[in-house]
Amino acid sequence: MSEIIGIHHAQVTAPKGSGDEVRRFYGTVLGLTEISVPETMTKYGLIWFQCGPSQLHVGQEDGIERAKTGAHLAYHVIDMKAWRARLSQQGLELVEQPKIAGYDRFHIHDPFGNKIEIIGPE
Amino acid sequence: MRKHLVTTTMILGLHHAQFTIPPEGEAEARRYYLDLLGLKEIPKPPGLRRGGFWMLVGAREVHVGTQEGGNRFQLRSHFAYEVDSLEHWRRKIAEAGYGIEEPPAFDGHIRFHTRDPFGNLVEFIQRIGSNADAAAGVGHA
Repeated sequence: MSEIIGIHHAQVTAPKGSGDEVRRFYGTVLGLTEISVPETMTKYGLIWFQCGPSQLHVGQEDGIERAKTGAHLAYHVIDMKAWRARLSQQGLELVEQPKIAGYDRFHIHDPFGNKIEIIGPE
Repeated sequence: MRKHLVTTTMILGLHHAQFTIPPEGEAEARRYYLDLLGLKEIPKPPGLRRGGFWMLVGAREVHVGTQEGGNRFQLRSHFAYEVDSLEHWRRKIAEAGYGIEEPPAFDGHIRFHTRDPFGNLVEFIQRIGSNADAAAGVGHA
């Protein structure tokens, strides 16, 4: 079998030295579980999280304007009301998006400018 | 799955991932992602912004959006596509004329990086050894 099986991980980036903020946002606010970075990779300042059956990798990168791109990752949740409340309480701006085929969704930006979609049942 | 029913406020996983291409690059993007990588196009619901297309990658969707500007060749953000025949893909991508980069290895995986025609970083990754057996057991998506 030579087809692509699925997405193993997706990587976004944050500025160098922002590890504490990465852990606060993705670990505490989004509630993802941090997983260990293999020993051979630790010098790159990566922080990895489990996200359902896939992984989110946060790398370090300076000098780019993350907020300018429409590229994003969409996180699948059930309780949209709870997530709106939780993220609003963090002072994040929720940008409502048109519903698509049974899905309710909104966008936020992480503290580094990466666009994030929260998507769940209507 | 039982945990999800009890705790409905957790993130279940990635629903989709979107990257962007220049608006004039759509035909080339279709050749690269649909023909070369062999991903399957799925219908884009009506009423959304025009341009781009959606694909199915395992159990997840990847959305290709269009956007002017930006130097995608500079960026380290990427998606990693899981395969079970890395050498097949390394040959296929090289034969198609795209460069291959060798990122550092880590336990239980082999992988390589390449760039799509617009500069988006693309990773191919294969689980090896006990890692692959474990993944096969959970129907990894």
